[in-house]
Amino acid sequence: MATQHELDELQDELNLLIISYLDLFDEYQASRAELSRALSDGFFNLAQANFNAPNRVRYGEDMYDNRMKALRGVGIVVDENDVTAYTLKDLTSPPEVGTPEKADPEATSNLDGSDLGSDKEKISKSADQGDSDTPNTKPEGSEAALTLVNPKADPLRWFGILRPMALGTAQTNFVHSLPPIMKLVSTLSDIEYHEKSIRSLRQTVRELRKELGVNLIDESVEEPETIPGLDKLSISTDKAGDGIIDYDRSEDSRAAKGG
Amino acid sequence: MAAPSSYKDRNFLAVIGDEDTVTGLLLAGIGHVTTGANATRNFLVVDPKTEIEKVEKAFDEMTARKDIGILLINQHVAERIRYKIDMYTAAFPAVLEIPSKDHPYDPEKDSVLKRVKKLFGE
Repeated sequence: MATQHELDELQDELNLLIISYLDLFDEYQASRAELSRALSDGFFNLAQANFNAPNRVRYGEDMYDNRMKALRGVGIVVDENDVTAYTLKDLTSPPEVGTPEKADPEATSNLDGSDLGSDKEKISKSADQGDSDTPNTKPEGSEAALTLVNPKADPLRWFGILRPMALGTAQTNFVHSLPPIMKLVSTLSDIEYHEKSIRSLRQTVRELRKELGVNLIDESVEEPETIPGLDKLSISTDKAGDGIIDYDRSEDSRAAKGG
Repeated sequence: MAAPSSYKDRNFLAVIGDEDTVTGLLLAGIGHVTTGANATRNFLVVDPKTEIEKVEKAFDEMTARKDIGILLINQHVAERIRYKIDMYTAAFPAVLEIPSKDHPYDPEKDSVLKRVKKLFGE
């Protein structure tokens, strides 16, 4: 027999899940903005490179090398909840001999590139520590994937030696757009898991309420559930394509003036 | 839980987009052309003249490949094959819509925002 205490506990759990879901959505929007910024910078520098190109060549499809091999790829780890973590992977280095098949989720979770800004710091820290025990001096994980290991395969070479400097800058911008992509798809997977959990928990709470004879109409768990102010929430894009959350305060100000 | 065999060989990113997006991402080192008689690319350049059938075919082929982990597609290109994107439910490869030079990211077309609104009864 279900008790009111159990119901309260489930409702608390549901509330925590919703908070966590909204946090994830916030993360998703931040990654979206970061990706838009990196791509926008990349497009700008690519346009500048095309403008400054010698002989008016266009740096595009006609100049691709048809023997290209991927230098950067994706590493996938799925946890017991089917939440997938995507990480940036360096595909130029050969796989290590004796590597265990199952990747360590804790180790890979640090490689999602979410804190790209601190990469340099991390590299300098590891340099300070002086890893004399390990002969491999290459940076690990996503850091390795962000710095080209095999310059002979550098895609910049497709475009000749007299390429404008802006093309190199564009390359850096596009390389830096990869970690937000990894972060975005990982967050999406987590969001899907949270959605499923919220729906299933809502169903359980509804059944428990029915069993206890609690009035469904006045309670917040009854669907459709609306967060106050969500109707005023919209996302606009500036020219750079960055997602910006706008909160329509006009109604609030009108109410304040009227009051 | 998904079997490791379903994703462990998915090492590549693929991209369907306009020339600048594809050029930029290939510069970043994600481009890959397989060797052999049936060489396949993991990218498609789409321009306004590209037929929709070609985009659909590329989307089907790339989502069917076992070596692709993430498929990136320009949001404006995704709009052209929206029904296909909406019908796609497989876990791998993950499909992500990205902005392009001429078409900035439009949140109104973002499936995640739509789902959030749906979940909270908007």
